[in-house]
Amino acid sequence: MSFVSIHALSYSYPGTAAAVLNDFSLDLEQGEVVGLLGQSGSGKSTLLRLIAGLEAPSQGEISIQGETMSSRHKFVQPERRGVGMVFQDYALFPHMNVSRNIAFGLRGLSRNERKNRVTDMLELVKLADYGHRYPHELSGGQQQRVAFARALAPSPRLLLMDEPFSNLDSELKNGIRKELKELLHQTGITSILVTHDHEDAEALCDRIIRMTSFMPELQAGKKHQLVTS
Amino acid sequence: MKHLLPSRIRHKLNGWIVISGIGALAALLPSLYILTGLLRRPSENWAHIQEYMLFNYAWESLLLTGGTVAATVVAGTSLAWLTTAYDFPLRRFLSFAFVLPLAIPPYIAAYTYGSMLSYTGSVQTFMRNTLGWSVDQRYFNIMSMEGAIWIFSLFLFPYVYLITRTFLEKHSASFIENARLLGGHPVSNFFRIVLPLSQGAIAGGASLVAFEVLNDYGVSKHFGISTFTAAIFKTWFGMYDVDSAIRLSGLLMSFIIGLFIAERWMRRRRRYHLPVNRSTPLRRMRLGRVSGGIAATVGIIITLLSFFIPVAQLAVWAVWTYDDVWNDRFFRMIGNTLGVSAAAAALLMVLAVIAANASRTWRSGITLVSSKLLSMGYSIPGAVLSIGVLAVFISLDKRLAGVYEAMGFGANKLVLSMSLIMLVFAYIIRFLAVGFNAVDAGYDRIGERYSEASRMLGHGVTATFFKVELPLIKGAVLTGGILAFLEIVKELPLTLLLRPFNFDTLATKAYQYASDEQIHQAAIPSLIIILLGVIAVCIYQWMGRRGST
Ligand SMILES: Nc1ncnc2c1ncn2[C@@H]1O[C@H](COP(=O)(O)OP(=O)(O)OP(=O)(O)O)[C@@H](O)[C@H]1O
Ligand SMILES: [Mg+2]
Repeated sequence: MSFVSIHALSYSYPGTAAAVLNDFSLDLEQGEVVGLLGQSGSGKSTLLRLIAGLEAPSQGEISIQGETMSSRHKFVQPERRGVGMVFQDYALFPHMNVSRNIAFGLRGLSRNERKNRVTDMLELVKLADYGHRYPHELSGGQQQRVAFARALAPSPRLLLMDEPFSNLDSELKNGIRKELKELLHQTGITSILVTHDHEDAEALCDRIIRMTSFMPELQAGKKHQLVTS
Repeated sequence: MKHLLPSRIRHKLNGWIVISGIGALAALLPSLYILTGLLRRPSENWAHIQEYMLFNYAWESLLLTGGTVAATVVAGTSLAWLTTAYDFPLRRFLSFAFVLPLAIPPYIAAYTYGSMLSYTGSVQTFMRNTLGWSVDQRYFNIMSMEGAIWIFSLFLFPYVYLITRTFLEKHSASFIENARLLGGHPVSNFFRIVLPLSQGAIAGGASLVAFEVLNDYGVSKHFGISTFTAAIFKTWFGMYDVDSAIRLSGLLMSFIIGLFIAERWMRRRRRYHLPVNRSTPLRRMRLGRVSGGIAATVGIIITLLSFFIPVAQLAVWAVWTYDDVWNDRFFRMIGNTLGVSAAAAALLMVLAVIAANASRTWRSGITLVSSKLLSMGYSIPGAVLSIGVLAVFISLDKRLAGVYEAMGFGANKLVLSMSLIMLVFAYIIRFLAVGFNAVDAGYDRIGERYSEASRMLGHGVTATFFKVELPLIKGAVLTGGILAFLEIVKELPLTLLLRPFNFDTLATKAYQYASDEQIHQAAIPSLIIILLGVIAVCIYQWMGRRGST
């Protein structure tokens, strides 16, 4: 039984006829970092949203640790899935400072435990002195690290990252890529990374999946091609 | 039951959506009641009404609405074009001043002008005593169809002006600049490019004007014009034939629904993919000395007539009647008005927020339809809505008779339909759209990212609302609340028809004074309403500017 199992998933956005995903399947082992590559519009973000529970699939099943998340009969709301997500534009809450952003997902902890956890996370992303800043007072790279800290703080089972580097310039990216690799290694978290950049994927991922945009007339019923690095 | 719904919908169902569904049904109930009136068997009066009233009254309404729409479209569109495309002396001041008439409800304008222009009014007295002119009364008789069109146009043209101007400022720069480069004549550019492009915006403004005219009760009553609304009143209070009144309302409502659909349809067809060209607004062309002077003069005359002169006249009357009007009872009445309006606005905002939230989580046909239905509440004339609300509350009272008896109110008592609850309910239906649109715009501005991030961090829909969304949209909620509050304060027809016995608001008091020939006494409540209206206009302007940056 694989850690994350996606089986025969299909999806089209409401009000549109064309399917974004059709009969898509993918399995992830525990601790595996999978890279999703593919041209624009091939449905990478949509796949992440389906796994996260932000959209409900038209067909197919998603399960995590053997527990069904989405299927014909069952749908677990996103807040109950134990999945963390780093958004492309980070989506840090503008009305909260860095510490409160990171503490936002920590529930069922005492005040002290929560404070310690926030401090640990700040140290993990090397922003120990920035807890009181507001998101708009941070550079792009710093914001991105806060987004990681926030997503990792509640210890999710699975981490989804949608083009986390796209807002960074290439020089900054090299540094961050190294840090992220360390971070993923340290936490040992199962993750999916969507990226446009082959180098990112090569550097960070154990396995790379290439998504081709689905064109019904050309490849009806065919599974998406898997390329293993 | 739940399993009958498609899975995509079922998975997103939550308390917010259920509440807003129930709210939408409750809000629809009065309208449905009226529409089903068309299916019931007509009373014996109906033949008489149909023969002697229906056609005439419908014709007068059509004339009034059509005349006003035509005049406001011409005035509103040309002023919008003048202030966006050209520069002339006083342009900045005038482009704001053209919105100010919205602060004056037409019924107040009607009796102010009616009295000013009468034989004993300030204008004729001045001409007779100071200038020694004797004037032909015919030219000063404003209490007519033409006069009513004139009043409505003068005070409603800002709807067309404002919507068209906003549209032109946002979208037109590249098209018009290109046309200019290609050497088109400015006038032909206006007809060949500006008008077709802004058709949707103009239609939007014009339909607001039409709804306002059809909603009106005060102006036509004061001027003695037999509109459709007047027919409803006559059958209801004159002939005590409620069934026929409901029937008439149903007919008017079907007409309005038709209008509503036509406007949406026209806008849909005309939705070009316009480049939003924010960085380069249209460069205004400077008018020459003479044409600039003419533009400024025309503009000044329009603002004087549509705002400053009536306000000045009211101020004079207010000074005359100050001692007479300004007393304890007046204060209590202001307290009444503000209290009920604030309570209704607060409840309305709660519903507006729930509805906006639901329509966002559940992006689908049904929520789109229900938000369209919400905005339709705004287009149902007050008289029609109040008949529907009254009918629903009376039947509710009948159903609750047993409960009242058990509670010791006595049998056969009308409790709900004699209370403020009914009025508040009607206010909410009528103005929900005002609150909803403000909240919806607020949600649009923040997008869905923050809410999704919060869900991913383990917070449910409700916690997400209170911790993330509300802090981010509280400005929009506040603005919506204030705007709804100000609309309610100046509302006339609903309040007049549904208020409990002896309950007065600023608007009903002003109206009452005016219809008792105590027009000078109406000045103080009117001025307070206008002041609140100016505040609302300023908020709208401020919102518009923030929305476009
Ligand atoms: N909200 C939406 N409504 C309708 N269609 C959508 C919506 N979001 C995305 N799509 C469509 O779904 C398809 C897949 O979009 P998706 O965002 O998943 O692609 P992507 O692989 O992430 O692309 P990119 O690399 O540009 O981010 C696209 O054709 C897009 O137009
Ligand atoms: Mg994407």
